[in-house]
Amino acid sequence: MLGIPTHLAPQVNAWSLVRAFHGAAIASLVLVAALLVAEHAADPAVHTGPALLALVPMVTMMVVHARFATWRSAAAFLLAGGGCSVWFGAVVERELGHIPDLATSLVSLVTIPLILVGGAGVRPSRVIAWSALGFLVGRCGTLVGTMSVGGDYRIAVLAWVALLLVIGIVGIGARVTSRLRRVQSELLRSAREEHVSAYRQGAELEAAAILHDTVLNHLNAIALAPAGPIDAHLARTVEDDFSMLVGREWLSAHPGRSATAGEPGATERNDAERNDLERIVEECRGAGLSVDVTGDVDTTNRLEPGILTALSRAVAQCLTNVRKHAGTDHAEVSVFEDGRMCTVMVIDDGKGFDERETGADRLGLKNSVRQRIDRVGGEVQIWSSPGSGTSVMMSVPMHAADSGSEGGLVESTP
Amino acid sequence: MTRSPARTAQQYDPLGAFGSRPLALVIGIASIAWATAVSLFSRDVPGSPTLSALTVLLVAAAVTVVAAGTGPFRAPFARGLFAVHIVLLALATITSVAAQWGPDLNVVNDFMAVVSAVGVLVTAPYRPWPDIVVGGTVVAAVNAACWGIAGAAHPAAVAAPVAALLAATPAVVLTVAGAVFAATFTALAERVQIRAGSYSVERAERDGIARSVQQDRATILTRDVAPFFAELRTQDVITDADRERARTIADGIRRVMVADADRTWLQQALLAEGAAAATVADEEALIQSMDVDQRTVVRTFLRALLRASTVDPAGVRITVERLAPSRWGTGRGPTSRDRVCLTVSAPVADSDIGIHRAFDAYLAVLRVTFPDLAVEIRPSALALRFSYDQH
Repeated sequence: MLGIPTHLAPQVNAWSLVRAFHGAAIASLVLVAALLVAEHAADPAVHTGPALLALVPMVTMMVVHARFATWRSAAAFLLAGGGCSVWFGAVVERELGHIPDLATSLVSLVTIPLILVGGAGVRPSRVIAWSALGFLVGRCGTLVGTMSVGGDYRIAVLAWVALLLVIGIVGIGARVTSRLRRVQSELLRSAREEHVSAYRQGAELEAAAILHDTVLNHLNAIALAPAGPIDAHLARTVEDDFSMLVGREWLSAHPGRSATAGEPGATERNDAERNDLERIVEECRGAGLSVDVTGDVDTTNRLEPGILTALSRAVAQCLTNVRKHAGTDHAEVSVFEDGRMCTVMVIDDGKGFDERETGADRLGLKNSVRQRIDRVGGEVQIWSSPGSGTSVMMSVPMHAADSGSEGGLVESTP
Repeated sequence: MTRSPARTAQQYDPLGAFGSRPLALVIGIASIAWATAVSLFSRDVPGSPTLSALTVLLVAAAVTVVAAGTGPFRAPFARGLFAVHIVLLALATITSVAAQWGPDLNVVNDFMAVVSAVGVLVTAPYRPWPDIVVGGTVVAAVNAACWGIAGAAHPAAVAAPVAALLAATPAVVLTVAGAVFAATFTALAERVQIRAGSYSVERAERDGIARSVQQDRATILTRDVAPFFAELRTQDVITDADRERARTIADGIRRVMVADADRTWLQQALLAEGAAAATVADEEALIQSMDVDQRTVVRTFLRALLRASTVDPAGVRITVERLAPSRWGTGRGPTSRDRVCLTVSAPVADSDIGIHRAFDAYLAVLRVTFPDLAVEIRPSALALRFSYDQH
């Protein structure tokens, strides 16, 4: 969690304060009623009923203002509250004037809702102005009521504390400085950068894998080729590489990512991908590798295009590894699925290898198989040891929704 | 099944809580000043000056607890500290009543009823609402009990039950305000908070990134590979020179690819900031195990650090290492078994006050994200250290 967006923070704070102020106002009135009842219970000669009745219009208008929350409803609340304050002040002075402590506290408490409920909004200056107005109305009202029955002015400490707290909380506490606003904006920016960066890293790894599978492999083939006439297959791959490098965008988001099963376009793309997988096997056969394909190859038709492309390229790299490193001219490609995952195994009976001893600069398994399958939410397991052949098992989700990856790069066919 | 602890407004919005801290300090200072002034000049009865002084000290201690606990380097304000704060306020309430014990006792003139209530209110951004309710209830109950007993011992115009209710009134009102604020804020913040994970890269942007990455690769391809392949297509044989050139080009590409594949998000972020000179020691690429929110906060802090005019990026040193289990204790559950420690140190050409001013807001967010963040600020140097579980 990184905080609240800058543009929403004032609203969240203001609404929280409104609710808090309303809660405190209701608590004040409940306590006024409780004190009046308690005093009447302690001294039945004191008639607190009229003071309790004075609270009813105030509570009613408070509910109305909470419901409409306009400046008109606020003004109506203050008007009604002012009238109630006069009434309340007169009754309290008449009945409880002989207990100054209690009378002072009661007129303070009845003023607090006027301070807290009138001012509600996002602009601090407006909230403070309404609160100050509420304080004035409450104090004047209770003072008029008190004096109308011969009472004296008393400092309403709790009302003053409430007003000062509102000014402090709204004027200082809720203030978002430009520095804090800047930090919040930077957090937002970083959150966005984090995703762009992750996506870019995926794109860079895929670019590296594509270059490894094509240009780098073919450069190595040239470096290892005997001097003399160029092999026809090698010449054709160089031709393909050259047209890829100069001719088109070879690293782009997959156009069919959002297509769903059943849509005509999706079916056509799946057909194309299936052909692509078969083409890879055919190419390897053309390069002299005997490849047996077993299992239900049609399963791959139901893979999402980007996932199938990643799987096809990983299979191609595995077959290339067999051809270049395994010391055998035979491999088996086995396809099976369990409804959720599609698994392809590439098996050879060659000389095998120890993956831990593979050099850090050998990128075939790392980039072109493991990371590529990982980016589409799949997993790779390799069983191999020197002298016992190699089995590479690649499992990919049948649907992107099961992949758990957020938009890993899905690429077009180079 | 265990319930996760309720979150606080500070945890949802560390910057907002950081911004409201000055108010808590101002209120705290005002409380001490009020307690001092009333104790010195306005007691109803002479009572016990010692207990009055003790009351002021207890109020000052409670304020200190809040000031220390809500600091940007100590967030979140822990429940233990909150409990200490409440106990100090309760004790101050008791000593205040005891200090003026006698027949002329006046509940309205006792500052502690209001000071203790305000003390509860200022913790609203830092504790979940149930804690505030409990703390406020304790304070209200102590106020009510003290004045109920005082009213019974020294009957006055106000009946003892009414005096108890009067004394509890400020605490009840402000506790309700604080609890409602905390509950409303966290409920709203839960809906609108920034989650790094909620961002996604738009399709158009993906295309742009793919083009940009391809463009980066195009440099080496068009400079070295394309001319070589173009030459090769015009000739029928491969010569030794061709083979050697192919090997050289392949080695160059492989080197770049290995570097790209091994680069972590942190190194990428430093590169993006033009701070390649900063030193990163992360042999096992452990930085990769941070989650997205953690990365976002660290990225934000590092960007602020590297862009500060007082910081030389070449002096910034970041170390990421596995934390030995003995360093964080045992028995913390299987998910805490693999913990990683990140240390950042940087020379900053500024005073410690200047460093605080420049980085406190960032450190407040870091502290909420990494609760064990330890910060050391000295003139001309900033060092911080925190740990996280491997994800």
